[in-house]
Formats: sequence, structure tokens, C-alpha cells
Amino acid sequence: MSFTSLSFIPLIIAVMLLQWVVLPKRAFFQNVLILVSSLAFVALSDWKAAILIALSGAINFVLVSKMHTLAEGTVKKWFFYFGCILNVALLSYFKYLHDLVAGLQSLFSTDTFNLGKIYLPLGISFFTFQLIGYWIDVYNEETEPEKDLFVFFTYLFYFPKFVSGPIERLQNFTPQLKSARQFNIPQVTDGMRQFLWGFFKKTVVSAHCLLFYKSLYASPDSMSGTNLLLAAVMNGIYVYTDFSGYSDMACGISKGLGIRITNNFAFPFFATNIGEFWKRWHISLTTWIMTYVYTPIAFILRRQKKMGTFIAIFSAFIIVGIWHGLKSGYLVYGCLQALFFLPLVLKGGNMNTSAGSNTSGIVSFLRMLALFLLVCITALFVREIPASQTLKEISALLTRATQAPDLSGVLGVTNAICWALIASCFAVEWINRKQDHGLNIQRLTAPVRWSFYIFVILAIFFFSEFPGGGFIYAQF
Amino acid sequence: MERADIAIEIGKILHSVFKKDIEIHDNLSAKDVEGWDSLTHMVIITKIEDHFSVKFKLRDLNKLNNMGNLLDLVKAKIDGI
Amino acid sequence: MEKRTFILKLAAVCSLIVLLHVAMIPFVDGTILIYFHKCSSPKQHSLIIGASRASQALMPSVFKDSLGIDIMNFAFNGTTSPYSKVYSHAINEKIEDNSTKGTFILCVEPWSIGMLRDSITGELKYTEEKNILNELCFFNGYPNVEFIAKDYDKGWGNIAYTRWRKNSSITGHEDGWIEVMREIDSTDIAKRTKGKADGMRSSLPYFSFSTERLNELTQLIAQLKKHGEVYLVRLPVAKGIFEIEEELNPTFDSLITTMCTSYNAHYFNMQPLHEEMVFNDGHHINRQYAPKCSSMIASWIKGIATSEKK
Repeated sequence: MSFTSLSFIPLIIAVMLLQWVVLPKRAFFQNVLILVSSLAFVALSDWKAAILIALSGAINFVLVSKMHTLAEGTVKKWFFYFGCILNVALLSYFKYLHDLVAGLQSLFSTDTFNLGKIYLPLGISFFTFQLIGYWIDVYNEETEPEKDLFVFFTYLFYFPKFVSGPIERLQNFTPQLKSARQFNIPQVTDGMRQFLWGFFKKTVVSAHCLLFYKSLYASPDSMSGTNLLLAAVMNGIYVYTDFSGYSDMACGISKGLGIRITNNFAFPFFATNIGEFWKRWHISLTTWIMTYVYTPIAFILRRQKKMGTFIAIFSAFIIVGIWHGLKSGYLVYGCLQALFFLPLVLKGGNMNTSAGSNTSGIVSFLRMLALFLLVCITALFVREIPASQTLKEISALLTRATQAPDLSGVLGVTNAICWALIASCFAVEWINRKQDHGLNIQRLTAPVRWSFYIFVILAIFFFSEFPGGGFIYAQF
Repeated sequence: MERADIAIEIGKILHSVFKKDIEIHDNLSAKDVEGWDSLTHMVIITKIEDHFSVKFKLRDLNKLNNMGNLLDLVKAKIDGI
Repeated sequence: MEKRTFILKLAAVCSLIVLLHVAMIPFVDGTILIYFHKCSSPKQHSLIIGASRASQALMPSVFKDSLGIDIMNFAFNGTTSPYSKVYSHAINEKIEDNSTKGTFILCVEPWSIGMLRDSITGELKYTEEKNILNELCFFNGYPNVEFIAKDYDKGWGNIAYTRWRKNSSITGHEDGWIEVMREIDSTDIAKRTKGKADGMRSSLPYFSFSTERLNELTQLIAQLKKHGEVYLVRLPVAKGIFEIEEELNPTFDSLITTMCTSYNAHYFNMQPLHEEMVFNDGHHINRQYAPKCSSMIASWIKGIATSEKK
């Protein structure tokens, strides 16, 4: 089941009605509702994953509580390592084993082991990272272990974040379950706006970009450099609008339920340097990586100054790559992102400037554009295509730069509509770039707000596409 | 060393990193200072360790939410707690 | 904002959105969703059953003229309607409950009683489980809003736009016949046929005869016999395609013949007549030859009926 599927609509309407109209306004009933609806959502999407997470969740719950009771020392440390390794092993088995064996076989030119297809549970990367973060936070005494299994399960299964995140820290989420949520009209309205915006990005912009990309990509070996660049741009926008669209829908639904979860995107294409970009893109993952990978390594190597910083950054982005999968493309992607930080590290500049920095002026615009193109080109590695193939395409982009572009795949009514939709999407997000989401327009007058709503609703009504396949980041 | 003195010394360290005066108060956090991010944070921590001849643990740093926490931590380290 | 005002506004917006969608329903026809009419008609007493070859080759209007029967073409395509529990369920839902004098023309080919396996895991692929017939609860009655909601994969506003443009190359007629607007162009045909043959040949290692599918066909015949006469037809295909099908299942003909004998059904192997047909791509009969093909089958059925009367 996905947020844009027909079967999701009655579920969410039922949940909203039950929460705000039918059930008593007490935390217990609200939490039961969320847990039951989350279990239903997960089970209907992937019942095997539901069972796996329930088992894994219960085991982790018990083990973390046990670890917390141990006195500081070697035993506790090894218990902690065991817990982390357990979760990494689970993730590795389902997600990485097949690619690891295939990669080793390819390296040694053998096909002795044929593992076949290994079932990949829905949401495994997200819930594993949440659990590992939980282990670390409890070990470091940043949070107490959750004593209520029921609350813990609600946190793990919470359906708006289950499929594609955000990766939420327990201590940021569970306190919201401890007291009854009140029906807050501005929050619910804002949630609906954000959901609508996410729905527009996913079903309209993302879908059209994907179609455009596929039509451009029909014969990659003979495409001109311009067409290849265009395909990269379409792919980049497709990935952004698909994933951020999902994230907006997840946040919107949560607001409708009176719960706040992390906004995973803060208009990353308006960033003017790589540091700023990574503070705006897949925020919960980068926060996780910064907290649990970069900071410890940078701390241990702090005496090595810039070298230490770079090693920490490199390690962090290798994990970002691996998080996507063990394929060559993802690893190259991670390495490249780390390399892009090198100038900043050498300069001694800030790794990430605060979001919302000054982006006016022609220089800022050119920086934004350059970064946008760089991001789109490197995003080509995050596809189910070997890195060698992607490298060929990127080099062709340069070597065939002067080849005449094939405009038959670029012009035309369908593509003109796509361009218009992309432009309108970015225009709206630019107008609201200082807000927490693209359609946060509460501050505007009623006629202007309703104009936005009408535009978005009509765009969905006329231009949405539901080609199937779910959300791109559900595969991770 | 008194807490207030620690605050003055830290103020000097921040000045050397950010090239501007930063008012030290208990509620000051990294978010309030433009450019205080993960990278500069390590630089600051290292300079504080060198200046006060103390050694932090990662666990200590993870619990720092604001300047007040940092001042308390440094004082505790200096006092050998 | 007051809670009441909020609910009223929300209700108004939702109502308008629903109304916009409802307003599009009259615009849905066989050019928007080619299988729409198949699932929006009343229940039937006679059906044409099979995959895409049958959907394009058999014209109910010809059977009406020739045999005086009202028959609906309820054939879809190879991934939606191979012989399977899913398809049998849909067919049973489509037949009038108490009818006994129906005519059922079942088009059979090695692919429709074969099964695809996953190239890596070897897992059997029940393609019909991921298609529309497995999602529907309702198969009859106009308009079938469930069908539109589950089969139309765009915003509904696009329905009006598509109708306005009127440039659909495929039309699903009200009687279920699928008309593909393709002119007879020998160069185009040769290219498509080669492409089809290459595709079929490359899928051969992963396609095999399925006793499960054959059993479903057998049970379907037994079920349909309660509602009327059953006629099995193997539609003709181009020679190259036929050779591939013989590789897939060399005993197909004898299998079907034996089955028909057991169930007192009739079998017409039209392959010897393949040179009288023109195919768009080696196996889908061109729309200009659909009347001829349908007429041949109708004559055959008439001949059987006449000889049985004697």
C-alpha cells in the first residue's frame, strides 16, 4: 500500500475520523489507534516484514533494557557491540548478502554460489538504523530505554515513516505519545497542505520527469551530450520530487494526527554549496550519519586536524552510499560526495552553512545552478546500473557535448507540460523557501492561498500519473 | 578556576575561530552562531582541551546542549571530577 | 478558525473534488480504457474468452449476424487473462446465473496454458494476480466506477482531455471487440513480426507448459458446459510464430483434442488457414481480417449445430 494508492484513502479517512471524532481524547486510545492502523498498513504492504520487525523490535527492546541495567565496564561495552552487530547482521543478510556474493563472484570470475533473490523486507534500512541509533543513545546515556513495549512498537511501526523514513530518534518521537494530542486546526490544516504538496510532487512532477527521462534514455549509447545532461536533470528532479513528495505526505499525515516528525528535505536545490546541500537533503539520514559516524570518528581523529576531518567525512559518505546498497554505483556516489567536501575541508570552511542563507544575486544563482547540475550528474550513480556504465555515460556527456541535440525528444506538448510543471514546482518552493514545506502559505491572504490550492488540485486532477512502482526510496 | 573565568577564556577561543566577538551566556547554542557546525565544533573542542589541559570523552560531548553545559563540563574536568 | 467552519470548508472542498471526478465518468469509453465496456456491460449468456489474439480477431457483431446470438468479447491479454482462477472467477461473474443456452468460444494457444518463471529465482509468475481482473469486485453494470478507479492510471481530468483529442489508436467497442487502428504495411508487419518472434524465442527458456493452467481450463470448460455449448479455437498465427509455439508445446493440439472429446466440447484448429489472414505482428490478426476470421468460426459453429440437429 502506498500513500498515493486508492486503498490508502479509506484507511486514512477512517483513522482521522476515529482519532478526532469517535475515540475519547486520551493518549491510550489514540496510541492504540496508531499502533493498530500502523500494523494494518505494514501487514497489508508486506506481512513478512511486519512479523520480522515485531520479532526484531521485541528482541531489541529486551536487550537494550538489559544493557541499561549493567554497570559501566567491559561487559556492558561488549553487550552494546553485540546489539549493534546483531542489527547490522540482520540488515546485511537481507540487503547486502546477495550483492556482496555477486560482487565477489564477479571479482573472482566465478559463479559457484547462486543465492537467487533474497527477500527484502519493506523499510528494513530505516527501522534498522533507528534501532542502531537507539542502542547508541541508550549506551551513551542520551536517553533512557523505553519501558513501554506498546509505545516502542508504535514508534517502530508508525506508518507515515515506515516505508521511506524519516529515521526518527526514539527520544524525539515517543514523548509525543505520552500525552493526548489535541485537535489543532492550524496544525491539521498545515498537515493537509503539506500532504497535498507532497501528493502533487509525487504524482505530477515526479511521474512526468520519470516519463521524460525514460523517453530521453531510449538509446543512451548514441545520445548527444546535451540530451544526456537533460536526462540527468530529469532523473535528479524525479528522485527529489519522488522522495521529498513522500516525505511531505508523511509529515502532513503526522501533523493531521497531531504528531511531528522530521522534515526530510529543506529545498536542497536552493543550496549554494555541497555542505548546505547535505544539510537540506535526506536530513534524517545525514543527521544520523553525522551523529553516529562522522562525530565519533572526527572526535577520535581530532588531533589529525584536516586529515582527520576528511577521513571522518569520507567514512560518513561511504556509509551513505552503502545505506543505499552494496552496488558499485552507490559506493562511487558516496566517494564522490566525500570528494566534493575536500575543497571545503582544505579551505577550513564550514561543512554546512545554516539553511536559509542568502541566496539572492546572480552569483548565488549560478552557484545554485552549478551545484544542481553536479548533484543531478552524480545522482546517476544511484540507479540499478553498474558504476562503469554510469561512468561511460558521464564521459559521453562531455565527449559528445558538441554533438547536435536531438530535440524531438525534448520539445512537444507532453514535454512542454513537464517543463511547466517543474517550473511551477520550483517557483512555489522558492516563494516558500523560508518555510518548513513548499505549501506552507498560512501567512498569505485567503484569495492567494485558495489560488494555490486550486492550482495544485487542478494540476493533480489533470496531470497526475500513477504508473505503479511505489516510491523510489521504498527499495532501500 | 571560576566558571566566569572559564567563560572568558572560551570567549577568546570562539573569537579565534569565528573572527568575531561572541557573547557567552548559558543558553547560547551552536544554532545561534553562524558557522558553528560539526566541523568547527571539533576545532573548538580541540582548542578548549589544549587551552585548559583537559581531555573530553565523546559521551560528555553528546550531552552538551548549550554553553551552560559546556562551562559546567570544563569546570568539572578542571576540578578533576 | 472554528472547528465547525473548518469541517464545512473541508467538506465543501472534498465534495467539489468528488463532483469533478463524477463529471468525468460519462466521458469514459473504450478509447480511454480499452477494457472498460467488457466490465461495464450487463451479465451475458454468451462469451468469447481468451487473450489478446481473441480480443482482436473475434467480432461479436459477425456472430450476431451469422448465428443470431448476442455474444460479448471477454478476452483481454496474455498477462491479464491466461487460464487461471482469476480469469475463471471473472468469467463466472460475467455469466447470467441461470442461462443454459449460451455459446462460449474459448481461444486457446500454448501461451495461455503455459507459465512464466522468474529468470533468477525460477519462481512461477502468476501475472494475472497483479492485473485488473484480480482487483475487481464488480464486473457488470454501467458505469463500472470501480474499474475506472482501479484501471485508469492518470488524473481523471485527463479523461476529458483524451476524449477531446480523439487520437486513440486502440478502441474497445461496446461488444468487447478490441480494434487496433493499424493499416496493412508489409514493411511494418515484417519488422513487428520479427520483433515479436525474437521476444517469444528469448522467453522460451522461462516459459513452460503448465498442468495447473490446463486444469483451470478443464474446470472452466466443465463449468461453462452447464451454461451452454463450448467451442475451442486455436487462432492462426504466422508460420515463424507457429514454429516457436510448436517448440513450446509440440503436443498442444492432441492435448486440446483429447480434452474436448472428454468434455464434449468442439475444437477448431485454424492454423492451416493462416495464409488467409494478415497479422499485424505475426499473431494478432489485422482488424480488416477480423470479420473474415469471425465469419469462419461462425460458419464452423453453424456447421456443428446443423450436424447435431441431424
